[in-house]
Amino acid sequence: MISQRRKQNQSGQKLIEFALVALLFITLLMGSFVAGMNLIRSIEANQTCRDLTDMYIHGSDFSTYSMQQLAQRLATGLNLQIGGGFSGNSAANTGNGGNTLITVSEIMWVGSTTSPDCLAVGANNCTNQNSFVFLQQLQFGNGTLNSTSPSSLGNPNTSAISSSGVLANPITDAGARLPNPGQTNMQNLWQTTSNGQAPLQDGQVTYVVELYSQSPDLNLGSFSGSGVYARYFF
Amino acid sequence: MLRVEHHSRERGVSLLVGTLSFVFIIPLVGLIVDLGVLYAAKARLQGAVDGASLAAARALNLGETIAAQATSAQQNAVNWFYANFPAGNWGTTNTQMNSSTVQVFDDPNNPQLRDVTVTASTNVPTYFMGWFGIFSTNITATGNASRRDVVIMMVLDRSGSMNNGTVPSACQTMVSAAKIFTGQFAAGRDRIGLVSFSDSVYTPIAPTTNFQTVLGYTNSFGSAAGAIDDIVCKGGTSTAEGVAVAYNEIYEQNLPGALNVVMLETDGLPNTLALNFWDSTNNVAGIKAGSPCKDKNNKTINGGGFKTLASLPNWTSGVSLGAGSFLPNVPAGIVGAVYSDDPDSGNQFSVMMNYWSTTEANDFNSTSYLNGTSCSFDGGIWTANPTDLAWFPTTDVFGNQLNPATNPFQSVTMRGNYVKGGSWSNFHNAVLNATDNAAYQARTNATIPAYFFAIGLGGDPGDPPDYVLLQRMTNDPNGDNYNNPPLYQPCAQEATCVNYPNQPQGTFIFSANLASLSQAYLSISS
Repeated sequence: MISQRRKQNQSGQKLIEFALVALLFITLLMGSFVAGMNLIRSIEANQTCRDLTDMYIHGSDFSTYSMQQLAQRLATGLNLQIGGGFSGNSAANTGNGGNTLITVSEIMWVGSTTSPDCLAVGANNCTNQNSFVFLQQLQFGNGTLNSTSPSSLGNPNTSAISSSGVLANPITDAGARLPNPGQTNMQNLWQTTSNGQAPLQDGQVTYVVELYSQSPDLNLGSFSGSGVYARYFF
Repeated sequence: MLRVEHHSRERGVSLLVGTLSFVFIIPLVGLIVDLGVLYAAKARLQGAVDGASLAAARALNLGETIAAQATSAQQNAVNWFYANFPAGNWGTTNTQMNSSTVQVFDDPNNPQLRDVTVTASTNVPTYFMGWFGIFSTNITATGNASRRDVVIMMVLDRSGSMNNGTVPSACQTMVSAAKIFTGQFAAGRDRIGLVSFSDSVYTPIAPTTNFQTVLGYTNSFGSAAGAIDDIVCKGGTSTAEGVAVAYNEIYEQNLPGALNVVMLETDGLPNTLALNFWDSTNNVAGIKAGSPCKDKNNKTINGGGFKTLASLPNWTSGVSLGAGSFLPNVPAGIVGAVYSDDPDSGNQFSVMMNYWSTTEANDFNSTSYLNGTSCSFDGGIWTANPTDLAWFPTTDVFGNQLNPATNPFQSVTMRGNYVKGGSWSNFHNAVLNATDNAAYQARTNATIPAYFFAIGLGGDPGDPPDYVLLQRMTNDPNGDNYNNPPLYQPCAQEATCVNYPNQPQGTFIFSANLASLSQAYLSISS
């Protein structure tokens, strides 16, 4: 009788103990999984971004479908979608689904009115003096991600941009200037003397690739993948 | 009883075991997290030094001395590193990267290479390993990049159409832009030379490391006048000869380890070729039977003239290009530049002249012509169809083919072993072919293959550059990336364009103004 009562008292205890332990385990497991996957995505995004920047600086033309296909292969695992194909050049192949958006930019520091670039157009016409300007910008992938993670540089606001994203008049066209906060951020980043840096010389150029990849597959209950962002200046 | 005690002892065991296992699992997970962060930080650091080394190599053209260029490279490396890896990135501390960790040195295996090595280190914090007394881990990354020295011949079009009436003219724009171009390269290491051409080719200035002094330059360090400033634009457009002579200068430098480049600037259509009207293989002059033109001995061809080399009129003195030259020496004799109208100017031939000039202002560099009443050369300049010419040779004096066997750009009518004479359109097509062939020969040379870059300038609106010709010459598969709407399509979409993926691929850019030209130069120099 006593034995039976004790058995009744113990019934479910292991279950409760297991539930308590499992709760901790599952929480730890899910957290580790989401954090780990985010870390892996982050590393992959960084690596892809780095490789794309390297290719860009060596002349790869990402306004063509073939080069975007190459980017897609590099970004395996990030679900970069670029559509069924197009001929010629496209500055914005962004009407696609998928999880990733890539922004490729070439930007230049235009110096004062006495810089060679300003002198070339005449000092009075040097609208973009002492500013960073876009020489080129391309985007491909899922364009809706622009609202989630817009380019840290902003986008050129001009009609004088070719199908391959090249701006025709970067010195005189105000729309070629990086908008704020991108302009301010870039000047804070580059035109500084901290860490032994020196401001860029007039006409110096940097090549930038930004990659944002959302992670909807990592939304597990209260754990969610917030997406990963990578950017490289080469 | 034993059974009851046993159950009593089991109470809470699962919880205990589970809790104890956390003692091992949590550090294990922590170790994985710390290693993951370490790996991510290392990848980021590696990317930053890679970017820094490439930016440093790119800056090796900034500065007027080798030492100044090394300093520019070191500064660029620092700038780019901290743009990619700001202090505190990934929670790192004590990041070590400055100009002293950037090494610039000559490549031990290739004298035309300079190498840059960038090293950086940083401390990455640990989040769990701190329980075991390990609070940070030091990681190091090294990046390498090289810059190949460049040998460039600038080929500048100083034809009359460059004075196109705009302010500034295409000619002035070209002069300004060419000096900006020379300002982009590394004095003391790179070598730049100059050939300018109209209907005659100016004696070339060989590539020199002292190009900023010799040719002139403009950049953020200053400017200086030089040979580029002496260019005066007038006369015809002998592009094939300019390109051939330019490549010859590159060939004579004999630096296969360098990046060998021909950089052509032109506003319009080639319309002139230097031709030899004496066929030394068959001992035949290209004078039509029945022509009233007379040779040195005052004899017509029907009267027994033009039968030997010695009897020929001496239009020009020969040009000796010296030992080790890619081009053949050009003999004296009935050799001269044949100039034809552009397509919008009446489709006629105009003059024959010396194809080799000694100043950058020569045009219609006339010497002596055929004489004889009713001879179309009589008096020096003739404007009708060249009825006295029996044929054009199959190559110009520098070996450029007027009707190449493989992928000719334009259709040319042959007559026997010669190009049919007397037709403006046939000659015009032959000039385009020879120009294309001049670039083809330079690109395909097995010893010193050259890259071609071409800048199309806005000159005569009636005769804009032949975009396809310049796409072919540069072997550029791309369409117009610099104008909106595009002025030309990718090579694959142009019926007469041919691209050779296995040959050096250059760039053709059409830029109508100096601002976009500077942008074009930037894309070439970097």
